Amino acid sequence: MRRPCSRRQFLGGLAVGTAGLVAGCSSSQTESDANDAFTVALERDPTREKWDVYNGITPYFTHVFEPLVGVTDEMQTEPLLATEWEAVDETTWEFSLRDGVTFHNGDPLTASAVVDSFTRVFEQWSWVPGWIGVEPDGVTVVDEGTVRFQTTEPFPAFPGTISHNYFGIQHPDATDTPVGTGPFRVTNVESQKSVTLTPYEGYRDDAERPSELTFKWIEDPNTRLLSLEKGSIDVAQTIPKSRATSVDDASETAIETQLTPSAGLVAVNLYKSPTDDELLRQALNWAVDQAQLVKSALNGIGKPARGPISSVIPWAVHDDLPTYGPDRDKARDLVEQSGYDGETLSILVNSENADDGTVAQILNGWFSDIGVESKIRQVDPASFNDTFTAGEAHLTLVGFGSNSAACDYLIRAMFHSDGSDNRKLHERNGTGVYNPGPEVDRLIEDGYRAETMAEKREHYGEVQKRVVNTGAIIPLYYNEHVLGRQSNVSGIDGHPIGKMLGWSTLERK
Amino acid sequence: MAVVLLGVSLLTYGMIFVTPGDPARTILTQQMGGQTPTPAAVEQFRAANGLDDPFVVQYARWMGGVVQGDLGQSYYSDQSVSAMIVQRLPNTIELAVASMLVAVAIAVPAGIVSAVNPESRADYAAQFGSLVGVSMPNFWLGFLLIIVCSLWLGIFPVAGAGGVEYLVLPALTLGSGMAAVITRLVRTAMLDALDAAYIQTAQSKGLRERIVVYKHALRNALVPVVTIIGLQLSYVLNGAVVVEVVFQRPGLGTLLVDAIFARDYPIVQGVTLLIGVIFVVTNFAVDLTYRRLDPRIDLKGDTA
Repeated sequence: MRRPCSRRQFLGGLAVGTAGLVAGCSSSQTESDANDAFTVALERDPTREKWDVYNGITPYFTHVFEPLVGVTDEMQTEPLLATEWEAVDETTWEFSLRDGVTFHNGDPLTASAVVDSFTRVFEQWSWVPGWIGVEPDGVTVVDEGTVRFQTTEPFPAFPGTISHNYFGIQHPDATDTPVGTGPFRVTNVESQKSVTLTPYEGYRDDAERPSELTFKWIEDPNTRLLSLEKGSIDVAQTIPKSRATSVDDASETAIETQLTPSAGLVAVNLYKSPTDDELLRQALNWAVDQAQLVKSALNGIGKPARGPISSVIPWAVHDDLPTYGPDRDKARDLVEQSGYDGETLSILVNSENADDGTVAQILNGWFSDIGVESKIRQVDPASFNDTFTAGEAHLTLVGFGSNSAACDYLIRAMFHSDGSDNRKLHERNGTGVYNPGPEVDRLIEDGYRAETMAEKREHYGEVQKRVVNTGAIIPLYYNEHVLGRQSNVSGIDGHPIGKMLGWSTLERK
Repeated sequence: MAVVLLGVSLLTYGMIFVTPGDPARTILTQQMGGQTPTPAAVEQFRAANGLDDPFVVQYARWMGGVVQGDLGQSYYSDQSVSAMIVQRLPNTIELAVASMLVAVAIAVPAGIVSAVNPESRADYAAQFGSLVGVSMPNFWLGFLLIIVCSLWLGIFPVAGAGGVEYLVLPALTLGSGMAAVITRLVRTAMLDALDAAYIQTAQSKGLRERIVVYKHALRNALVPVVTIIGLQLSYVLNGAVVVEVVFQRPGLGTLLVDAIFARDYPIVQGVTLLIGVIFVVTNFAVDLTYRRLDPRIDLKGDTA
């Protein structure tokens, strides 16, 4: 029987086909030609299915939706879709809407649209009331320009809480495409890949904006970097700190850094022997050189910390806090005076955070230097919190930030006995992890209720001093986020909250 | 098959349940962009998703749904697990098939050349290549290929999914590792086959060497090779997890890993169940292929 094609013919065909494929691929690589079109690579999928409520795009980064309240560069609230707000009584807030705001479909922003938008969020996520302290029926229309929020209990930080991107206002009838009020409107969504935006012509200012903005999902940091190097993206979000220097040194690319509200610190277990010994805790603090740590573990990106709260947060008292050292001789003396008998301390690390692994190794060396042995234990992100709040470790590397202007929850989560980190053990046996006790609890409650920033700073400042003085924490660094960009691209509008960076002034030289 | 799948689902459900980690807190933290959720929000999330129920109740509820063809809903979203799987499955299948083709295209010729000319330069080269292929981690080879083929040569895009151009590098990355294993196996099987008496018979009756090698030896050597290729499917699915991340191809691998890290039980269960089905079906298909390759094998269990 005759074969339909000889082997030689087959191989020849294959070779021609491959050559054609390669040629086709080479020519199919197109980059956006427009000089004012930009592509930003994000580490999280901007079209995640988890965001059905916003019709398939995340409210982060894109500025398609705007919340009622904005966040300044100083992490304070500022008017956005609401021009002003007031507490009518202890549990009632009224927000006056900005005049002349229109949705991307041309409809005006009204109080009922705001209520609808919140209703959708409540319907989608049953847990939102527990976050913002408002029940689903607690958002009502006062008049077409005013919205009322009824909180379940007095909540002074409420306006800041709804400055989170989660509460971006969307059009009530938007069912297929996202319709917000922001400076950019959605023109194309490619599920699990990208979101493309163009400027919204009806936006309330007349500023020039990039003609097209594409947010593309590239999860792996190395792949993001290679894409930046190749020139297929203009901006890469979250560059590993270890790679920042090489990106900045390359002629085609550069980095930008920005101090964030997140602080890296060691939570010291106050209720587990031997770290229940204050002298030992102070000794550990004297052993740590924050400046050196930032230099060696974080490639110089970050600010050496004195306290648990990033200095970008308005009530942080960084400048008023004492510094311990470093003074290893003094640390060694303190170890000797303490009841420490050579037990190995455990250092718990979240395996997701590569920087923490390096930080833990450096700390391990310094502690060993002062005669304190320690062992690093890395666990996966989901197990990390359970292990930490169960009080299993002596020392835990933690890092907390905020994506809204309401940062009160940070100090509560960390140091209040009822805060999310201490609550489990406090309910079980009256202890906790790094909650110093009733006096600090009271100070946190006073700060929470404070009506002025000065008053808040006074109470929260005292908490910060106490946790530093008693060694309930070892402050390490205030985090900076790192962006990579093409050298010829400029105009990224920095913001301490990475998810609120502005793109309106992006330009290419 | 049903028993195997029941065992698989019970094991995964049990294992993920005893692993520390609260889906409520993990998922809320991710949703809020890394911010710590309030205890009240965590409690409400747990209540809404029935996470406070005992293990048996949760498992039974899930199983009840599966029996009716409902894999449940992700804790994150309104979308059903089946819809999410269907959305991502084509990408993974595409990658699996392409990498299998790459593997077979490299391994079978290399293995044959190696076996026909044992201890020749070609044999050493093939063996060395296999050693390198087996030892090289997927992610490393992936980045190497991106640097060479994409940054230096500019032939392929760095990452993404879509046309054939996006498939070449991931398929090479995943396929070359498999090729290494299969090459060694083809070589061994071919050496055994070439030693057999029927080969000497074929040679002594004056058949051309090419006919002897391809028609007589290769066919007999293929049975263990096909088994391993079938089993390598597990390698494809493992490898897909890494390759999909490196080349930014949304697929089952990334879906599963994200779900495991977030303790999103319904997705983990759904994907595991699907992988279980794929395994059982593949093994069955491999058994069927034996009969085609070697008519002496009788699937009824009688001796031929």
